[in-house]
Amino acid sequence: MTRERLVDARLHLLSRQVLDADGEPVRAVDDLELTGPDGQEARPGEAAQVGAILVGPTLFTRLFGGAVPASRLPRIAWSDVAHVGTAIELSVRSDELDADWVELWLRDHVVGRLPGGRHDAEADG
Amino acid sequence: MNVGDLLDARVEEPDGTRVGVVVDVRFALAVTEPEDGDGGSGGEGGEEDRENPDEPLSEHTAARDEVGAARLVGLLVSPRSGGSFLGYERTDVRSPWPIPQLVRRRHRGTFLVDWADVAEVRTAGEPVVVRLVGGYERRSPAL
Repeated sequence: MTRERLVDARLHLLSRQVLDADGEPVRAVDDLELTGPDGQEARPGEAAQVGAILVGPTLFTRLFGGAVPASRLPRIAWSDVAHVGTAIELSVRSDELDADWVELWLRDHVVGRLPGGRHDAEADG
Repeated sequence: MNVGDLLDARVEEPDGTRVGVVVDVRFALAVTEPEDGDGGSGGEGGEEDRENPDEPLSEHTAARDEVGAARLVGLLVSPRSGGSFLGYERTDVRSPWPIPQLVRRRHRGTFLVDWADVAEVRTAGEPVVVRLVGGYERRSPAL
């Protein structure tokens, strides 16, 4: 059965933790991108919906002001969202998301080259 | 356009009269309820399984409601304060006294305006300006 649930952005969505399908924390919601039904940018007065969750390094702009252009912020498509509760849970694994590219790049290019950097401490117990 | 552009935007009538500030943006989530007795561990047994820490979270997210599109309903406009509601627009919350009473007083006159009643969003300047259509309707902000 499908019904509609009302949520407010500030109360229920912004700054919430995003978890992937395994329950691993991905990022927090920094902003939401609005799109029209055709996938184009939302226009005032016309039907609009959330197209993507924007996540990104907002610490610097919070400290020093200004704003990162939305096109440069990593995004998670709203179609990947499975459940909205105290956290926002995704139906995909974080490895499949571009949102973690900084972490993945550092893992491959920096941490992986350190002695012991390819050793999985949890797996070896 | 992002939600962050709309939050704290100045709201004006068509003739430029200031109406207030956007304090929140409301969405309607399409929620699909899980069917009862679905799968092997449905019903009351499913509740016990959720306590098991070894079970991946995805197991029980699959058994819960699933969200679809998040349709933009409208903007919550407060004539006084740009601050947060702290959730007290849900009219049945009365405690801890006197916080809800004070927050409600600060936000009295707050209304919901349909997205269809928004004529223009000017994101160029600072602050962002939301201009409403003539004859827009002030709706109840209750969830």
